[in-house]
Amino acid sequence: MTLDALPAEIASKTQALEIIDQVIAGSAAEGVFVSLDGAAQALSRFSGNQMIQNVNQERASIAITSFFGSRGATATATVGNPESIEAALRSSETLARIAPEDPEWMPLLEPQMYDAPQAAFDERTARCSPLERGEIVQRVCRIAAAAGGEAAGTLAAESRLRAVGNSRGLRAAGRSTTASFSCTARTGDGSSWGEQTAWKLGALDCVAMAEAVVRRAHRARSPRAVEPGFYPVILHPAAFGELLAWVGWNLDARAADEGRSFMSRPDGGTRLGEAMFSPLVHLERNPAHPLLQSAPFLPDGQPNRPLTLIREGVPKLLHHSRYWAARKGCAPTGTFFPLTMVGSGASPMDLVSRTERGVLVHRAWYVRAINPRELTVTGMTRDGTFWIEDGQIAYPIRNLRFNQSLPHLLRDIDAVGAAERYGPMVVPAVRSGAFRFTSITDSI
Amino acid sequence: MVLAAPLTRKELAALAIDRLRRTGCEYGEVRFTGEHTQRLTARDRSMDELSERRSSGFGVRVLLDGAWGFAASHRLGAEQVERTVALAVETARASRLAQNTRVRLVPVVPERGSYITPIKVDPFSVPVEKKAQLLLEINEQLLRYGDQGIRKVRSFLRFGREEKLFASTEGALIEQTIYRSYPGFSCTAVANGDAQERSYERPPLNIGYEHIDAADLMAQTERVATEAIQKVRAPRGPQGVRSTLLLKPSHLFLTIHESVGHPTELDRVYGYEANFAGTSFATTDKLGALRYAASGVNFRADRTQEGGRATCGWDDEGVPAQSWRVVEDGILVDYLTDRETACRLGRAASNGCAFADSWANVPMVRIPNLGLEPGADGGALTATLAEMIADTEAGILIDGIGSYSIDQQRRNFQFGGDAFWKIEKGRIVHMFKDVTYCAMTTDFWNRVDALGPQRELEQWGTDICGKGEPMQIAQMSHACVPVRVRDIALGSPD
Repeated sequence: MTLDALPAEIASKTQALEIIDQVIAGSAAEGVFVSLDGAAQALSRFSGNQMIQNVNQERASIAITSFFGSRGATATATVGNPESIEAALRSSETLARIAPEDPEWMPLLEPQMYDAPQAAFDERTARCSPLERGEIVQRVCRIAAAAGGEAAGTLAAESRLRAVGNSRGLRAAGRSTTASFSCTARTGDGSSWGEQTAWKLGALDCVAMAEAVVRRAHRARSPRAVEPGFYPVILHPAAFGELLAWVGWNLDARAADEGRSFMSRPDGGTRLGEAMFSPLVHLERNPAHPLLQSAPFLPDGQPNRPLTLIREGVPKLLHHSRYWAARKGCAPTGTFFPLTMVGSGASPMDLVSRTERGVLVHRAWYVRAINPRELTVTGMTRDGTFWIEDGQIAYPIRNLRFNQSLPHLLRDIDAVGAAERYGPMVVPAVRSGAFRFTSITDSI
Repeated sequence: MVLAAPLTRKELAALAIDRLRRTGCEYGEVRFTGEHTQRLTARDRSMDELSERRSSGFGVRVLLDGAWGFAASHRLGAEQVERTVALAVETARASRLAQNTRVRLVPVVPERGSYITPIKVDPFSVPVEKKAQLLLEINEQLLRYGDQGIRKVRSFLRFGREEKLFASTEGALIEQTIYRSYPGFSCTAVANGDAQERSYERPPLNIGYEHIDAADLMAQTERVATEAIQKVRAPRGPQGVRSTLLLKPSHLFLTIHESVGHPTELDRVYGYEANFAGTSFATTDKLGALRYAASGVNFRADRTQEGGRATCGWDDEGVPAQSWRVVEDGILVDYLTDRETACRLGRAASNGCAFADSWANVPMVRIPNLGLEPGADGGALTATLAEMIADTEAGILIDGIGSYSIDQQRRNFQFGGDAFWKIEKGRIVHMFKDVTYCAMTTDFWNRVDALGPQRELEQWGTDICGKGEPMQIAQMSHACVPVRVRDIALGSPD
């Protein structure tokens, strides 16, 4: 290995790929895959209308997977100096030599073609200073205090450099930025929350969101109790996103083929092609979505191209690992990330105006699967739950626990709103006919 | 040309402390961490994961003019230490813009010392081949039940060694080495259009390779596979009714974690987690008065217990490891604090719950080892699990963990489990599947009417406790005994 110096800061794709080239050149294995991940993250955290934590993190790590025949092993190290990289390379080789033969081993990927759009990168976001973050947090806290509320939340900015390569010549690299702002406002027994994520800081409107969240926290005061039961529900994009993510994670071909998934047919085979869901459900993997603009390659080097997963309520595609795809004689898909669901032009309030009675949920919390075979989940509403009557928000209600079949939720969707970015997803608000609330809490 | 030797971590720490003192800050600290982890996961007959990870770097935290700043870097060197200190200070100055009340800390005696987890066998000295072979043999044993419905098996080993060097402007200089080991396996049975999992673990502990008892792991495979097969064919648990529950320590630890551990984190009580993990119903006006649990029920925090996943010599603010009751005879009597929250509460000292999950993250209040004390010898609530079963007319016995969810103020919770048995007229009758129970925290703990004795104490715990923004993952033990709880609502999925 000839790596005798590291740049002080791995800031460019060229630098990252040079390091990968040198690791591959120094490898003694029959095959090697290298992944380099560098990030600079900053996050300001506030609570009680003041800063409680303010951090800056700089990190870089390299993961090296060596192969001898079908034996493979991975070593990961902080990219602190050439010695740490060399040690990781040798460690991966030592482990791989003694690893058991893997009956599911797959050859290294050949060089891949990637779509042209690169991940979005914004210089201002990458260089966001503590002072800039402090000034934004100061404004948000003053807004909350002036309105008689207490704000808590975070303002974060991240720049990232990711590169992969292998000894068959595959190479991919890209830089990206992400900015996010989240805010909870509490007003006595009222609470409200909102979150924005974008690829650039300038796309966040922290002040407007803080003002909206504080107003809604006031409207959430003095919540009334509603008896648990089945109710029509309108889920804000963030609440729906927390549920839809579980669907995405469980669209796996192997689990379906092996009878372990909600996509398994009881008599064997999968439910691909069945009209399982509402025709309004159109789910994609779309890294090129304008709100996301994420990298055209996946962490394992496979291309990340747009795919249709569910079209008009009919599942069209399941995730196939390279091994499972080879066994089934089809193309590997790579992971289903990021998920995007097509929406409409309607706002959540438009959905409310068309609803006779039901529950409006702004945030779903602590969602966990109860039965993976049926994809039933439980969770809580939080930070702004309201009763809808005659097309209006009638009054705030106390938070509720739900136990809900997600296939049934998607089946019963009868309206979708405009799609918004929520974390790494793009999701619309949805209205669904019968959501199962099972208990109530006093928690605000 | 003669190159200067790179500075040692202690020298770099001394440099950081010197630079921090020059800023005139009230307080500053630097923490260097080197973490070595090894993960092995076997899925069916494939070694799905065989990996080693080494991560090292340092974090600098400064309290300047009553405001916090923190910066961390993976690059080790004098120049980077100076830059990182400067960035932490710049960040603290920016924090002042949104700081109404100055942060103050309770005092701590600055200590100089070291701590190493007592172990018998260094897990990194054991050949990887031996570890991989063990997992593949476990899987092979489980796959023998394929014709009865076992379709997917998974086994794992996790090991860790963490070396920390902590120095503060108050004069502390502490070195700690923490070892961790954790084995387990699971299998999934498929039948009649359903799939159900059953698992076995030896709990995550701070311990050496002696925790990996191959004979014990292999001896459990037949039982676990058989129970998975029984479970997938078992009737669903009742719903919409109330029942007596008998909860084994392998299950109860997570209920303790969620409903006693998190609500008593004082930073949550003060709203620091309002935007994410949530706040707490156990507010300070209730301290010393809240009837949290039935009389005779005691919860003790203890960072000194042997093998505990949160056991250490000092916390990440240099506060010595301690043991104290949080709930005494059913009453809320204390919290889990760091130096900042202890000061807000008016305490003279912190009880040492500050923890940062890596060099890159800032210390915050985390649940330490927090357990349910056994029933007192001859106590009114004390009974063995066998005695509880024999004394139960109708109920459900729960082993292991399943789904878990709790509201953001830690009142309404719902838990599943890994295995369930119907109890009828003092006997275990048959398995159930898909059992969940739902309760409000203090209502649940006040319905405890039996506690296992000291000899049934088991040291369970978790290694995946998430909290904070950015998210940090903490690890802790919840030693506990079996309990019986009366009149709890059951619910199952549709």
